[in-house]
Amino acid sequence: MFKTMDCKQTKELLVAHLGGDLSTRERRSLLAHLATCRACSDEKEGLEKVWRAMGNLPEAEVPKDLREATISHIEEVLEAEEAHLWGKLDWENWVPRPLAAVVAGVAMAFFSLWVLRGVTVLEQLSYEIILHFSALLTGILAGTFLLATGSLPGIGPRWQWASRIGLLSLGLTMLGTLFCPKMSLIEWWEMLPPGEFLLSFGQGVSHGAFGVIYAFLPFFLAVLMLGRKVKGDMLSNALSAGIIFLVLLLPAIYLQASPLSPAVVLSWSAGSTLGVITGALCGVGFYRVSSSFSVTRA
Amino acid sequence: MGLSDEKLMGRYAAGDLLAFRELYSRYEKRIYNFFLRRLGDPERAADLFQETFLRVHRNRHRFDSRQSFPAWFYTIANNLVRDELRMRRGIHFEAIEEEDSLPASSFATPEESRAMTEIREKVESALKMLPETQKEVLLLSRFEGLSHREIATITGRTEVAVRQLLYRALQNLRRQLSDV
Repeated sequence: MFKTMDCKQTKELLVAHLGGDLSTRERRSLLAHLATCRACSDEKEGLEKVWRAMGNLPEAEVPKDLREATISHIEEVLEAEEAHLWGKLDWENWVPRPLAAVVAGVAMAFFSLWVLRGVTVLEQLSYEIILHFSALLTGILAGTFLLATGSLPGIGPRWQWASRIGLLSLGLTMLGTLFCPKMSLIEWWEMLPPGEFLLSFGQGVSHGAFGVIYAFLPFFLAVLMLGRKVKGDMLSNALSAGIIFLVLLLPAIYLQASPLSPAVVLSWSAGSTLGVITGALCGVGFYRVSSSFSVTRA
Repeated sequence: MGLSDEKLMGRYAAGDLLAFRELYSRYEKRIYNFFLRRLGDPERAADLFQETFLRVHRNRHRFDSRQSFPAWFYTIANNLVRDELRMRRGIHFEAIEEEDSLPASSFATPEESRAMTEIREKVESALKMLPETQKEVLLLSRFEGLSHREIATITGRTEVAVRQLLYRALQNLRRQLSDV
């Protein structure tokens, strides 16, 4: 079909032309040859026709379950590797997860008990029993979450990190409570200028505002400290962590507020719920802003 | 995001989950269709699809950001296909229907749709008839949009050899699709 050496070279340039892989110099020589060679010109048209016909083949969508399974598997591996680097000790490999969960739960229970004893009227024995029970409940809840998120294979890595954020928030809250200068947090708040000012709008407003700060600060801090681990689907992950935090926090709020009145428990809890939601939104907002800043810089 | 594949890969290797998701979304459809067209088997295409991303993950620290990401990525995918085909040669291979995975366009009229389906079927069967070496370079060039240099890297051939194989593949297709 090809008449000369030029025609033989042209066939290579023709396939490069189809794939858009020609240099300017090659394109120029191809065009010059095609202008004088009918056979190569026909060849070009024929090959272009085949090339276009191949373009009619439709593209299949990736099945949804395959996409999700692949992403979650890679993320799981990545999370495990990060956790390994983060922890350095690789404790998950040599300490069984259920045992770690039980130890964490018991430790959390003793810690809660130790902190919460300071805000109780100890001479009321019946109340102390309730206190012990609730403190243990806090620990059991913490342990259950660790156990559930750490050892059930069906729960993804995001829940693991969400529970870690929840536990970290609780730890920070308890630490804050420990350093409170007054026996009762809410009484201390009422003595502070903002608490005192808000009291003029009613006790509910003041206690609610306290609840917001009480939950917002530790939760926001926890999201900042661990949020990088769960930013795949950030808002839902942050809200999941918030739910875990609230579940763990409510017994503590109940214990500290119940000697006062049910209304205090209610406004404190409602405020804390709002604080958690605000903390989640602020944490996600912070990451989005800082992430877009780093991308712009890059 | 606007970052190059190579930069994203660098970030992914450093542990950035967002970079992984971005890279994944850029390549998932392409690589899935690449496997479907090479193997004609949705089930094996799904397996190799997952395996490709796993291998990318395992080898992410070996990626050199000065090299082309598509070339590196498709080398992994292409090697998986070669292994698969090598394995198949030893066992009985059943023809597999592709209709479910490659639906006809829903935007055409019934007549157009029929005509397009006819052309599509002819192209698909003509592609199946091609020798593997020709099919390999043709699919990488036509559907994955890779340069001849990248295809040469992926397949372990010279650029000239890639162009010759492409030409032969197109000639073969042209002969089989002469009435299209």
